[in-house]
Amino acid sequence: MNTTERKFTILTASEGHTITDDRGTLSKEVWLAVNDTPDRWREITDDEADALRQAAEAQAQAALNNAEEEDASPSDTPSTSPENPTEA
Amino acid sequence: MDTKINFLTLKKAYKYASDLCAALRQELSSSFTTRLNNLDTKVSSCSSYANLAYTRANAAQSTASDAADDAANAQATADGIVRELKSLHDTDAGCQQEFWAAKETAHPGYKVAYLIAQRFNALSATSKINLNFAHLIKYPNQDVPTTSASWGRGNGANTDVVFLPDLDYSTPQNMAGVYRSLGALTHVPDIKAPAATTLCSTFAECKALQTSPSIQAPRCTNFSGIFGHCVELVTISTIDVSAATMLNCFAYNCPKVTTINLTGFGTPETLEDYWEMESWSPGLSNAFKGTKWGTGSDEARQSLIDTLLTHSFDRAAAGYEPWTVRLANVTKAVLTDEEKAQIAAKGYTIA
Repeated sequence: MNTTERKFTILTASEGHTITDDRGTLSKEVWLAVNDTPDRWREITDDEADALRQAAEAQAQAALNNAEEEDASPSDTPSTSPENPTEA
Repeated sequence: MDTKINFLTLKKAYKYASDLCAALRQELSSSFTTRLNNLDTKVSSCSSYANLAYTRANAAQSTASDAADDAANAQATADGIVRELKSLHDTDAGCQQEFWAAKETAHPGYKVAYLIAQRFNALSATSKINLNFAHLIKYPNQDVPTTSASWGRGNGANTDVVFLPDLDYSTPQNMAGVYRSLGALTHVPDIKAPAATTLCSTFAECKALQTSPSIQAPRCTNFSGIFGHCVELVTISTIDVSAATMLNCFAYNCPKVTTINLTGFGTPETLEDYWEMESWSPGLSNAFKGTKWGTGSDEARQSLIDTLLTHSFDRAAAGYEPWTVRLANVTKAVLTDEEKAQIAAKGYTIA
């Protein structure tokens, strides 16, 4: 019989805080993949998270509206991107 | 056999066939060429099948399978009529003129062909495809919107398309938004699109669609917003996403979705990024936001397990970077800790 033990990491936000990867993810609890690391994640306040959610809502709608046009004229970057984007 | 589903199928077949028959009879009695007269027998046959199917289903005077056979016959005959109409259009100059002149009528078979041709005609020249409506596509139209995004909005002509015929998708590469905003669309045959690379927003804002077609598009990289704002959508049938690097807004604002069956999830080594929340986000963001994936039934829960666990690519074993899958709280709640652990073991972070 083979027994394989795997270790998993669960990140849980502190009271009044939300976990983010600074790449759009906002969550109170994160189950890390075995190939993920906690240092890729950080906490922000719930107020900051709410502001980001509202911005995301508007931008998701814009992305949906723009997706077709972008695809018809493909480019390396989305049309809503800044001129000199910085990887978060 | 699920009699409820059969009944709905019968009603759809009846509506499709009866609408087609009514429109055909109107056209046959007025301006269509005499060559269309040979369709009259089939029109009658189609009408008879449809009426029989509907009557049987409605009165429950026969078995569900018999009624389903009648409905299938009605549908097949109606589809045959559409094909013959197309053939006449392609081969007869007089018919072409009649078809074109009749574009504003309620002729269902023609209207479907016309709208699809218009849609693809509105895309870029490089994305024109052969949908077996080549002659329609060739016709210039001053009233065709010049951008694909504007098609379907403010154009009342397309809002009553309920059924799509079984089309040939063997050659198109760009299928972005082709059926977007068909607000009455409920019936879409399964799609095999071996050359397609883009299905972004293809069914976005199809607000009556309850069940998606199954889609085999093994080369498709872009599924962004394919079902965005499909507010009545409940089931997303099997879709091959093994080449998908852009899945953002896949089922965005689909509050009734409980079942999503994806195969090959996580296969590409990397996702494309897009601009969101004042930073670059991976092309998986908001993919399932606002859905109730996995809830309400065993089938729905199984679709969640199958997509993320059974049929997903093992990214950890391949040495790829993890993908972060954002799930709604109601979706996370139906996963056991063991299942979350197994998903995490394949290289997916659940947030």
